[in-house]
Amino acid sequence: MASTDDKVILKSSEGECFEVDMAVASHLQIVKSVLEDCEGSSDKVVSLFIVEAKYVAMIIEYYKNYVELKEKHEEGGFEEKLKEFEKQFLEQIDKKELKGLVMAVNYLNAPALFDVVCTAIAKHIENKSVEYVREYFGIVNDFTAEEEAQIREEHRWAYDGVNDD
Amino acid sequence: MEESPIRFIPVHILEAILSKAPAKSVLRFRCISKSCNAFITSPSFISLHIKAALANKNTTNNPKLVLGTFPSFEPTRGNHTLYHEIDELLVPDQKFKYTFHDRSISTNYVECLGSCNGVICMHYIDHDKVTLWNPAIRKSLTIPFTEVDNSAEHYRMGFWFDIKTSDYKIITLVQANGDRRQAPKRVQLYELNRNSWRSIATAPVHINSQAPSFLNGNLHWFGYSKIGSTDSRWCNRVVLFQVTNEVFGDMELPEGYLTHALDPLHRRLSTSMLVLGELLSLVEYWSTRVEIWVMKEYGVTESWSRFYNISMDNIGRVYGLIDIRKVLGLKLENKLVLYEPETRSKLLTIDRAINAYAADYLDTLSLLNRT
Repeated sequence: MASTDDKVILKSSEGECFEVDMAVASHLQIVKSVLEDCEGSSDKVVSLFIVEAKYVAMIIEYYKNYVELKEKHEEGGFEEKLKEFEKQFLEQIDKKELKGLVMAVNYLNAPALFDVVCTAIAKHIENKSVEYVREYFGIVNDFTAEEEAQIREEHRWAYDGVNDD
Repeated sequence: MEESPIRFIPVHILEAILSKAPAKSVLRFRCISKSCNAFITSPSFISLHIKAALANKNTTNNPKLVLGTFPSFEPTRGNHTLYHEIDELLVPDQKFKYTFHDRSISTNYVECLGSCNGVICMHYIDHDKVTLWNPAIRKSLTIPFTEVDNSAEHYRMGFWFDIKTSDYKIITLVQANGDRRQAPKRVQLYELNRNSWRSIATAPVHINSQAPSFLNGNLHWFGYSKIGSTDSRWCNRVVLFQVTNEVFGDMELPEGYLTHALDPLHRRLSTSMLVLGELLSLVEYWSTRVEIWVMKEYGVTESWSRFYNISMDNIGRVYGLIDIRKVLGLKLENKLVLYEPETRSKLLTIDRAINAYAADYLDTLSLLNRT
C-alpha cells in the first residue's frame, strides 16, 4: 500500500479537501511547483484558491483514469482507451461547466486536460452564432455597427448554417 | 451552488479553443470583438491553427483532397471543384462546398503545382498565371509572373511551404527550347512574404516533367543531369532541389531504366514524378500501359521497385493515389476515374474533367493575413 508520503491534499476555494495520489497530482504543474518550493516541509496541503470543489473533483477524476489507463496499457492501446474515457468524461459535463473547467485547468496548468476541454468547447461552438459565442464567453462587443458589418461582409458565406440550439 | 459567472476569459484560452475550430467558424468569430479579430488575423494564431489541424490529421484518417478541374463554362462545378471526401465524388449534382470560379481564365491547360497547409498552387499554363488558393477560407491570390520569352524558352515550376521562414515559395526554371542537355538559363525563386522574385544559382540539370513532387524537403522532377555523373555526361535522372539550401542535386532512376527503352516493341512516351503515401514514385507512360514505380527507401537506388502496371485502357494519365490502393487518373474522352489495380475495378467515373490532383488536405486559415 502507498504510504501517506505519496499523497497530497488539494484544497478547493470553498475549503473542501481532496486527498490525491502524488502520481495523479503531479500532472498538475501548479501542484508540482508548489511542492517543490516547500520541499522538506511535512505539510502537504496545496490551496487552489480560485478553483471550486466540483472542478477539483473533475480534474482528479480525469487524471486518476489517465494514470490508471497508462499503467494498464503500457504495451500499447493507451491512446484509444483514453479517447474512450474522455468521451464518457465529457458527457457528464454541461456546456456552462466546460467554461469553468477550462479556466480551472488553465490555472492548474494541466496540458493534457486543457487540450481535451478546449477541443470540446471548440466542438460546442463551431456551428454557433457570433451572438451566442459572445454571451457564452461573456465577451462585450466593442465594434461599432459599421465596423461589424464590414467584417461580416468579408466572409458572408461563413455565417450560413449557424444553429444555436 | 450557483454557477459563478465568468466575466472575462483570457485571450490565450480563447486562442487555444478557436485554434481547434474549423476555419469557417473562426472566420465568423472575427466579429466577436476587436481583440478577437486582432488575434485571429495574426500570423501566430494562423500557425497555431495549422499546428492543431496537423495534430488532428495524425489522429484521424488522413483526409484526402481530390481536386477536379473542369472546363470553365461549367456553372455548377466552376473551374475547379474540391472533393473533400471520396464519397462526394459519387454525388453528381450536389452543392459543392469548395468551388473556384473565374470566368476570365480557361482551364484547358492547367497543372496543380502542389498543396501545403491547405494552400493549393494552380498554374494556368496558357495564361502564364499562378494562383495560391485556400478553399477553406475561399481566398485566392494571384502571383506576379516571372518574365519568359515564350518564343525561345519554356519554364518548369515547383511550389512548397518553407517551415523555417513560414513562407510559401515557388521556383521557376527557365529552359531554352530544343536542347535537352543544357542547364536552365535562369532560376527564379518567389517568396510570398516579400511578394517578389529573386535569382538563384543555376545548375547542370534539365527538367523534363511537369509539376514536381515534394518529399523530405526536396522537390523532385524527372529530367537530365550531369551533377552526379563521374564522366560529366548528361544522364536521365531524378532532378532534385533542396529547398532549405536552395541547391540542386540528383538521384538515380531504377536500374535498367534506359535499357528498357531500347525494346522496340514498347515505346516510352513520358515520365513524371509523384508521391505515393510517403514514398517517392515515378510514373512511366508507355505506348500501351502505365507503370508506377516507388523508391521504398528514400535515396537508395536499389530500393526502386515496380508497384503497379496498368493497361492504358484503364488509365491514361495518373494524378495521384488515394490510400495507396486507388489510382486517380484521366482516361480518354476526359473521364476522371478512380481505379483499383488490385481488383482491376473502376470505382467511379466523372465526365468532362480536364485534370485532377490528389493530396492530403488540411482545413486552415492560411493566406488570411496575406494580400
